[in-house]
Amino acid sequence: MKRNKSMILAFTIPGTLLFLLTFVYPIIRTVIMSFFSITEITDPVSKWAFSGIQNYTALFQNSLFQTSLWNLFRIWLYGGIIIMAVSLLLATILTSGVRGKGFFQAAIYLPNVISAVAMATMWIQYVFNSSYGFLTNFFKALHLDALASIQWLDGDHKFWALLISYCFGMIGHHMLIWISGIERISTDYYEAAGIDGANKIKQFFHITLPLLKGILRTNIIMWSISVAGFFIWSQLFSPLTPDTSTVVPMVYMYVKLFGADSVDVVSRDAGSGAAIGIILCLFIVIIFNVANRLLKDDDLEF
Amino acid sequence: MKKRIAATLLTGILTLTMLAGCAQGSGQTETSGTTPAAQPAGSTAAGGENTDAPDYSGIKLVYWSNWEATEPQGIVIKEAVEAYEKETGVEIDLEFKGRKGIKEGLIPALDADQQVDLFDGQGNKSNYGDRTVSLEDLVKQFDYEKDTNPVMMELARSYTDGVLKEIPYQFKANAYLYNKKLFRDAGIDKAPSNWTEFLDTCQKLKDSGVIPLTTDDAYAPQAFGMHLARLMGSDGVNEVMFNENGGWERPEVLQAAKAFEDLAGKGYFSPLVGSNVWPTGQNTEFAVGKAAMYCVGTYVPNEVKTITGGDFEWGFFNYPEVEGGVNGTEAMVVGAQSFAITSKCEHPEAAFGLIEKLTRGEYDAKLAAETLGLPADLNNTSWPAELTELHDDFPDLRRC
Repeated sequence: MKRNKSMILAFTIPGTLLFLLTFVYPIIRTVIMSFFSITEITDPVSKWAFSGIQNYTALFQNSLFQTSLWNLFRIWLYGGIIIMAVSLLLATILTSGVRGKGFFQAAIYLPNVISAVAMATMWIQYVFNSSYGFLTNFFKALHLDALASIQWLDGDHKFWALLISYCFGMIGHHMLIWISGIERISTDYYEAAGIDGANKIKQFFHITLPLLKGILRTNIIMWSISVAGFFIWSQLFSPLTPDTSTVVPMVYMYVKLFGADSVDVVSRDAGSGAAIGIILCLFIVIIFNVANRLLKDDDLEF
Repeated sequence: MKKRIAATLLTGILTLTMLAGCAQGSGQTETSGTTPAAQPAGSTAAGGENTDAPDYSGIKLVYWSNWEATEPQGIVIKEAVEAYEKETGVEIDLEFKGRKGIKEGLIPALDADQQVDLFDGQGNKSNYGDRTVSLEDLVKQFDYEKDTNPVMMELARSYTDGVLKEIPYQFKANAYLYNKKLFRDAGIDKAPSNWTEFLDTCQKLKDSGVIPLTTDDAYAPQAFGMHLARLMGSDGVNEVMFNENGGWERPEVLQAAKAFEDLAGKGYFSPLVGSNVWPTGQNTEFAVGKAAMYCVGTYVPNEVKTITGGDFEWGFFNYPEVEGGVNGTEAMVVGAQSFAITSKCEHPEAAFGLIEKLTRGEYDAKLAAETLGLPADLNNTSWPAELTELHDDFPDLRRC
């Protein structure tokens, strides 16, 4: 077929231009900004002062930023393990032919539909509150006074309270991805395995799990992206000022970009903000590559 | 790492710390009777109906407010803007952007050449740089300064190298708010003014079965910062914050920490204080009368008025003096909200007229009454009943 080059150009140029303008340009600009000392994000280039890797070194030497990275890593790792395990378990149960699949699927997904602000307020005020929260009342009713007296939102427990409540909402999302993967697997395999005498558990470990490698990779990458953007939950668990147990890089970046809320810290640093953006971007790129290397699914065809 | 957070908060607290002592000069100058080209509304009578109001017909102003339209401040501001429009013929596009809207959106909007003539928001607008204009000439032209608390004007100037670029209003002070009824029930007839009396007060409250102290995560460092400032003065705390001259290793830091350890050890804090995520302590312990004292700002009575109702007996005392400290109770943490005019504004007189309308006479009194706040106009002597006890302590050089 003869290709009409001018036609191809005419159709691709608008899309390419838009892509360059809205994706590539901001990325390149952010990378450049991260090497400059800039006060406001909208400062003209003439006001930028080149500072080399100073933004990065200052960030990595800052104990609060280190804490925020450590918190992010812990949310990613512990939260990832909890979410992947629980959502896979639920997905397996729901695809095993239980009654009311549609209802449970919708119910488990529901927290994703509700605004994060409402969800976090519910957890903070009605679950974790130490005077009238659900956990306190529940353990009191069972006369487990030691558990009832735990202050879920104090410095020692706040991180875990945050993690659990965040994971609770995210399980439905990842469960749906698992379900779509499981439903892709032909029932023939299970029937054949059943005839050969494999029980449900064996079927899961020898058929479902190996065939879900690609889905696991998708889930890990999706999870990493949402964790890198972790912000609202941290803000709600520590309103007004960041807290060492809940601070994450996005919160740190927000304070750097716009100053603190409740106090007179008005100095702004868009250069550092850009550097944090680049660090978070690299975090995802690294995980994406590692996940792609470790979880190759091109050796299986089904 | 906790240090860093405390440091951030302390920065805020300390930039607000002003000495209320009479020795400080107010910087107030007698203004000459220059008559401006466009005759502004008479400063003291600006709030009321003014037949001499200037004619600003054909002028359009854009005003971004950091309040929400439904907040008491927003409601009064809207009324004042409408009255000002009626009086002067100016057209005002009032937009309630909320705190985040101003913080995140205003500078980008100004940099993108969007028309915003004036805005309000948290005091200290030094980060706006040359996006806001000097108000010194307008203040002279309107003979404005004589009716505003000189300490607050000095504080406003201090943010921008001595040049006035923001007009303060909605003043606040930070120290201990307390529940007078609980004090009375515990047999306490006088608020503590030094640390020994403070400990005694806590003990009496505890003996009467009341929780003496509570706080929330967001406000916990306030008391610590003030304690440190009592011990070593503002300059000393600055050194701690920026870790200069020994900074965090200085003995006063440990001394302050020990003082709080002592309070906690004696059981003066609420048992739930560790898990109070703002506003839990404020709303469910202090406002409902379970806890007697809360170290915070004077904006809290307004925030909790729907919980406390009208019967709550508000008390206020400045942070107690500590033994061997540099500062006594003559030092107080104060601050304000403020108005500023942008460099985009082509009619600064009209914009300043509106600021005057909002901070003088009728609407200033209304703003104070509706928000249980402090009036900006010195001629408005009716302070909210909730903050009566602050009246004698609040820095006002004119009374000296």
